[in-house]
Amino acid sequence: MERRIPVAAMWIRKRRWVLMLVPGTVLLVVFFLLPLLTLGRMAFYTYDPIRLYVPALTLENFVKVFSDQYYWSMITNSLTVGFLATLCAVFCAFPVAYYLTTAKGIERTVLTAGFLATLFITLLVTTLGWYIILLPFGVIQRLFEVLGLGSGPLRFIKTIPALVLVLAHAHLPFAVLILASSIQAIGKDKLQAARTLGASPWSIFWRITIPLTMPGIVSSAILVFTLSISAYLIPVLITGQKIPLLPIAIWTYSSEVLNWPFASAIAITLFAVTTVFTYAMILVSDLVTRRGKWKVV
Amino acid sequence: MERLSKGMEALDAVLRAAGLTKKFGTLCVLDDFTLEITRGEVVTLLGPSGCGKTTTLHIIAGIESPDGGEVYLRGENVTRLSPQRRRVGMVFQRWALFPHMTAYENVAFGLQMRRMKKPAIRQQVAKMLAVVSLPDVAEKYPSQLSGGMQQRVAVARALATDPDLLLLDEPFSNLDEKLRRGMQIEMKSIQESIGITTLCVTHNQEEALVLSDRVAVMFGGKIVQMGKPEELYSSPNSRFVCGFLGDANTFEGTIVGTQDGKVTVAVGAIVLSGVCSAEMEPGKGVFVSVRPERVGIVRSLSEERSGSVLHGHVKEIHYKGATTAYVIDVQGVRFEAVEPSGASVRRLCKEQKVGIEIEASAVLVLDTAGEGGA
Amino acid sequence: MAARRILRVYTYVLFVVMLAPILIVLPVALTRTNYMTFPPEGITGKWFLEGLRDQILLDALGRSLVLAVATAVFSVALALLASFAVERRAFAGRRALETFFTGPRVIPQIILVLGLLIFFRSLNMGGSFTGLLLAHFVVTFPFAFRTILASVSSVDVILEWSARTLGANWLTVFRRVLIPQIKTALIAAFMFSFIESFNNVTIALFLSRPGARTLPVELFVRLQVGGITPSVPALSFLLAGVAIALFVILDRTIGIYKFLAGSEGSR
Repeated sequence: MERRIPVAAMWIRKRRWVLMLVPGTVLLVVFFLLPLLTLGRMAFYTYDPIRLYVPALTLENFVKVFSDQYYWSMITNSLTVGFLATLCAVFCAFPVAYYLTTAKGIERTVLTAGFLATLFITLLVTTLGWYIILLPFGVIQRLFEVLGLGSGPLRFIKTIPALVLVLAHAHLPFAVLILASSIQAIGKDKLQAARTLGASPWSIFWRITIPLTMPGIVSSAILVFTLSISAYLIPVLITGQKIPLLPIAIWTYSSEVLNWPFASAIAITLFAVTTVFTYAMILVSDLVTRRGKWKVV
Repeated sequence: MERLSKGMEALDAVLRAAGLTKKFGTLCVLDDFTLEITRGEVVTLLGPSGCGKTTTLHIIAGIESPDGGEVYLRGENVTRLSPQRRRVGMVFQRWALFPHMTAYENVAFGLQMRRMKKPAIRQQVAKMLAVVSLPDVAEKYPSQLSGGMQQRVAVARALATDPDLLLLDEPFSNLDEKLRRGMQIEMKSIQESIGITTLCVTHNQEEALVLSDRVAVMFGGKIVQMGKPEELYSSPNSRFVCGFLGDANTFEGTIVGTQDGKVTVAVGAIVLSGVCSAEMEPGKGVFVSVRPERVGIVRSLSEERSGSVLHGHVKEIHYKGATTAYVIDVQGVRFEAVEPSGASVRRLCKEQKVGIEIEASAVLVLDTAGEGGA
Repeated sequence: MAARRILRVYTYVLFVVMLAPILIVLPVALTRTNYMTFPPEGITGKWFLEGLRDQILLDALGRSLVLAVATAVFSVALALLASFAVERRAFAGRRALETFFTGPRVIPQIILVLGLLIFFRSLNMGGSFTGLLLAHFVVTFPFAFRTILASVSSVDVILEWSARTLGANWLTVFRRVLIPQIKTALIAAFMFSFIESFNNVTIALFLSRPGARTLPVELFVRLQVGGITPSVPALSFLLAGVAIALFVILDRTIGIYKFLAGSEGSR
């Protein structure tokens, strides 16, 4: 009996690194990897109104997605919304990020708090706020009435521009974060060197700042794009069911119609679309900046 | 444009900084700083960190603007002019090469800003890379180059636009010891071959002595002494300058007597003859400095020479390779003496009785009150 | 420079735009009417009290809090073990494992949660609290892992060695040398996991039972159904206020901004 305990302890001690990794890895494999595989498999099953699905492999779900005009419009809508929100967010965030890197002290703290605070708040609250602002009887409506810019309910809400606006707003903090750290990483001395070499502020911006922050720009664009194209909450509250979008379809088909195979097919399509465009963005940016050949020194 | 009133000197003075002042909050970084550099000269600003030297460089380059004072480049008042319109070339401490451009593109950058034509640019870049002895790195990126090479590319970039003045901000501090010495020599030869007026900033006193025609020692935002390296080394005007440049034996002493420029000063139990530039009276407390290499070691203590020879014994021996340093105790006062460790010289042993002999011209007597003026 | 002034004005304008939706909720919550309207008709604070008296909302709040704390504890504990192992022991496939650990952040939540929905149903776990907890764990783990890993990497292994030579076994080293060094990262990881879980709507929506909803989901359902009283904006505003206060406190005490840089969120 006396010799067994040390042996067990030795066994644990020798493998303690592996043992430390086991819980996290196992949980992720079971509750992250497996569900994704399940989803992938489900997309190829057949829908059955009674038993929800039958494990009979078929491609009909995907065929439906790509042949029906309605679902194509979903894909294009999602892509459009994704792109526009990305453009908006990244363009608006860049100057802010730039200014943040030059701000000091109290100003910096206050600005940072303002731009990042929304990350701490439930999306529901900010979306509710936008809802109030954009509603037919909401703030903007009242403003227009007061300014005499026409009456009658504004049809602004439930449109793509409204959706793009709210999505860009929700994801702007991420863009600001990534861009700010990217701009900071350039190093003041390189910009000073460019000035002593005779470069105008415009030249410095185009030839030094942008190329060196391109990785950050791409990074933030990918993030905002992914978040925007797969957002569920915001489209549901802002546009309702009016604009066909992939994430909303996923909810409809999985939790209302209970057509899991089809819902899975839509999810896979969404994933594929996101991945393809992510890699396309990376490729373009690598080409433009000759990435891979140089590193920040 | 303001012109200097002096005739020929107006053309020769490439840089004139007059009364520059700069404050950061309540901290006065530059206090009435004045400097003039003539064409082809190499001047180094030497001083400890935080004494305002980099700020001076930034003001001259135009990256920062002074709170007071003016900067003239080639007679023209450029104080309010932006850096891109001044004709200075600057090498930064960490070289600041653009990481996303090849060496060629880095060097060509300034030329592109001047809208030079492509063939002319190509020629000039090739020429500059040859000057810094790097003819083959044009297509490499900074991350692919060693520290020494990056530094040379930075120099080539700064010189490519044919500036009036070259500014170097501690350019060798990022290199390791061996590389640093090699680069200092190379830098000197580049400067001589092109003849570019140079203002260098460093805290490394050896660098300053090697590179410069004139050295300006800075402290507290002002120049405390300026002159040729030899002058500063052998005749520092203050305790600070003395201690900053090279090693020195330093003592506190009291004036015993004066006689046309020569003084006799008591240091502990010993009396030394020395030189002093200021007015002294007997009884005044002063600061005495003797360079270790001027402390002569007398090995044979025979009768004839005992007049000017002080007797003591060896306390410590430090072998440094090319030289050997001895700490010799002379009646309670410790002197460090340095001599070459050649084979012909017999090494001393601990507690050995020796004498030391110091010429009067090697004994510097300085006023303890101030840091001295320019 | 004029350019800088334009930049500053622009930034401040955007600052207001960023906070506008949050601020607008307050006046709407103060109206006397029992429907949302702007501008508010009359000023009253009664809807705040109404919101706090609503039993269903309070239950949902409690549930959210418990879930969030449990998620955070779980995430941080496992992330601590994992990052320690990954950092101190080089092994083949280490990079791959690190990438795997950040996987859940790369996949959009809506896709992940559909997979979980199907997976749980097949295990008869649909709608259970445990399922929700595990789902939240999966999405908060990557960030906890990365935050703690960054901190663990910066602890010099020499400290460990000197503690060992002074006679400490590895448990003591862990407890008395390492944990104090990474304390800040642990707090940050805990707070972020907590917030992620508390605020999360997408996952909670798919995976919770109608009778046992989390607070954001309960609010969402009410918004969708319509006909809500201003107690919803009132409660929303309170939530927002607490969140901002939390952010400021965290920034003052542990400099939360540093940790945010590098976070990839998804809601």
